[in-house]
Amino acid sequence: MKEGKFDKFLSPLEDVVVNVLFSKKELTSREIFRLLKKKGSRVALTSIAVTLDRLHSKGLVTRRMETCRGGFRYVYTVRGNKNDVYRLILGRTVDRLMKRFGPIAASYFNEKFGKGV
Amino acid sequence: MDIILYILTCIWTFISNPFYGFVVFLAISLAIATVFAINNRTTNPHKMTRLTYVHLAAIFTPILLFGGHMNCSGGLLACGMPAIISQFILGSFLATIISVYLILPMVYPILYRARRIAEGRLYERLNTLSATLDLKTPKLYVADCGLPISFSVSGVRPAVFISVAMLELMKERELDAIFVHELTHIRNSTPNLKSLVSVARLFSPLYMLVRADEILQREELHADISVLQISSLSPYLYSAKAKISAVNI
Repeated sequence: MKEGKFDKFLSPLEDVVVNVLFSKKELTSREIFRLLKKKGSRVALTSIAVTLDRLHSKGLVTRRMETCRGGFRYVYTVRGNKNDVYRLILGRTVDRLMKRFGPIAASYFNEKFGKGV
Repeated sequence: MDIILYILTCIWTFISNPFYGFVVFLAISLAIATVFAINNRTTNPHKMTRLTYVHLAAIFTPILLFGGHMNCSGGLLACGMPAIISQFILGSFLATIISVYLILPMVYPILYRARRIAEGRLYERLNTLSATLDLKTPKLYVADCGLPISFSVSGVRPAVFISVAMLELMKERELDAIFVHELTHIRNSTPNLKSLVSVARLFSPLYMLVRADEILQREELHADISVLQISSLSPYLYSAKAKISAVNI
């Protein structure tokens, strides 16, 4: 398993944002934008904000509101460590497969892994 | 089947009465006339609101008379089915109006986990812009939402809602443009009108003929024009809209 590689399960920008958050612990969308801009990325602040919101609704990041000069802003943190992120992604993928294939998926997992699902 | 025949017989008896028949004819004519009047391109939102109230009054008057005609004096349970139906329709209408105008504005802050802001730089901006538009400063709420949204509520408790994401993405002058846009909606009572249109569509089949979406779309343009009339804000309206459009793609 390649460390910190989520790009097979997340979109390219989601993967980049998650890895940036892992490196810096907690950041605002504007801070992530500045960091990526320094690395030569041309992604818009709007795209980063939307991506962070999507990651939040997927349960991969948490956020808290704090006051700032402009009023309020979110500070984002990745939920747990990289293993926790893998578990979350894995859980969502398995849930999707179960929802899609139902008993066939359950039967497959039982045969493959030999445990009751 | 028997109940349906009974109701139809009651309706026929009601309409056959010359007085009630005439009232029903007048009411339907007035309802149709208001539809034509609303579709008139020069109609402003306040006029449209008043005409919609007239339309609904025209629709409900025969229903009210019909229920009263059944001599429903013995309480709801003692009345015949037609009176029960008419009272149910009227009751539903009143409940919807109360929900939309009184309860929904109180529910929005809970729905959006919004914090009321009554001081600070942001509120001062709203205060200044309200004074520019000759409006009493509405309440300001910051919604806990990761997408850039803003909306307003007019009527008894006027308020502007703006999301945290909007505050993060927009520059100060872009926020001013958004505030002016929402304040214009409050001044024109557009949020009330949107709610009223939803209620009217629910209770009046004739209201489906009103080109309400076109009129409400025009109101969005009027709100933008308000921003453009403040020359220092016009470039910021376009940049704010461009950022919001980028999210919606």
